[in-house]
Amino acid sequence: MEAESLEGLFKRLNDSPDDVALLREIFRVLRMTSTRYSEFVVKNGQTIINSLSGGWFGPSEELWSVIEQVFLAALDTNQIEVASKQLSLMRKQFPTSSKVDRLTGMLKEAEGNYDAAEDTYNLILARDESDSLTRKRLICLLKAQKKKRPQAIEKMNDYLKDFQADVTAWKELGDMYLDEQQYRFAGFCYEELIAAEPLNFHYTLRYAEIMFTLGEFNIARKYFAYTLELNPPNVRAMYGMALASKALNAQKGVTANDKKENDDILNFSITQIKSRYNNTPFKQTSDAVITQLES
Amino acid sequence: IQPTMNYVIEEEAYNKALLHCKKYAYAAVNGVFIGKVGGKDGVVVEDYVALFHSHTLAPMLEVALMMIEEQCKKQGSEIVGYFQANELLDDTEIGTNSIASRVGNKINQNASNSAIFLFDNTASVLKDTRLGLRLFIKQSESQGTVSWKESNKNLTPQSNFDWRRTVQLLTTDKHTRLNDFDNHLEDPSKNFFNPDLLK
Repeated sequence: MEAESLEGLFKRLNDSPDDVALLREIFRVLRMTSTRYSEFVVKNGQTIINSLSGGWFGPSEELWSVIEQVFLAALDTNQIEVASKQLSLMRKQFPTSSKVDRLTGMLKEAEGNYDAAEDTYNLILARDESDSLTRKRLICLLKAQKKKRPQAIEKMNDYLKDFQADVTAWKELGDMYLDEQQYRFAGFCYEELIAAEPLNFHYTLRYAEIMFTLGEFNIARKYFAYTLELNPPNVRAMYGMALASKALNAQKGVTANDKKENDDILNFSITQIKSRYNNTPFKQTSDAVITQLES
Repeated sequence: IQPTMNYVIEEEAYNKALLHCKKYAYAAVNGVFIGKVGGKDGVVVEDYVALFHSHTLAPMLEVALMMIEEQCKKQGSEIVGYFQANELLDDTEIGTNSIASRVGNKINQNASNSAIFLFDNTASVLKDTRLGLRLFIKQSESQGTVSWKESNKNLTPQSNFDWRRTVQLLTTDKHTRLNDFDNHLEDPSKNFFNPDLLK
């Protein structure tokens, strides 16, 4: 439960704001979990960089991870000068690195200079056409512009023909389809994700919600149930199971047996929701929703 | 022909919407405006309920609207609008058959004076001290589908709007303390109505 440990770490930082070791740990967890918390990273990055730059053992691998982390965070918060400074440091240390070339392209993207970024990426790919990270940046260029969204989707489909096992690409494509309300295609992408990572409840949950949106209540309910099995406190799945059961009861041609089963599952979901909300100040509002669900 | 409603937006609602945008500056965010209809001001937008910063899908939207309607009943207010800030800088439309128009339609079925509020990505809110919100009101309706018309002159800030407070809120880390419905679903003890956020 990395997310919870982050909250705990931040609480501790609040109590001891000068604890550099604690700060380094927070930065490490942010990197490991790919959590987007960019203002904080830019604000506190220099403290860590200073503490890692000198010392007995000289600059370390961690130093360069932090510099890259601050670079990306600075792009995220439109602090181009800070980003440029980190980029220069990396360029000096790793003069022939294609990663640094790609980061240079990302800086141009952040400045809105998509053509220059595209040139940079094409140069990298001319040297090594199997560089999948750079190929994906070309797709990001397209994704960043609303008018080029159809091209982004097309290029991502092309990419996935060559790199079928790239889970992050399937997720990205799925999310692009969701942006365009193309729920069937989004569903296909999430099916790939579930096949690749069957125990990842984020995918099963999102798939259930997509199926529900398409009116496929039976499939939706199965995947809400599966999500609950993988992640028992999952409130979204509890609500999803309740809503799907209610929707199934309202469908034409529902038999008495079906209705009994739907009611059983509905009541089960409601019990789960009640216990999850039990000690929260939200109990009243959730009770009202439950009343609506039961009616 | 019905006269066009005027919409007056109060600080509480506006500031919360902007804090939601700031918290998830890299994503599309949406939410619901609640307030009161009638009286000399037309529609008064009193408060903002932050909904999602992930893709809006049917089931959780239904739950959110149920909870919001319940809360409105208790407070004697109603849903008066749907708010959205698009993810991409050059995305300046509510779109047809988009999330905005679908949710706007759905809300309008029960609240016929509700409007769509689109955040203007290109506005320099703090620099120009103007709302940077675009108002879309119902122009006509046919078979349950509403067609929306942009009408920004019908949207004004409350009469003694304190811009300094808005600037102050946006330049601190107040936004980290706002909870939206996505946050609430992850941890039900988080109150997505944020009643004390701006106190």
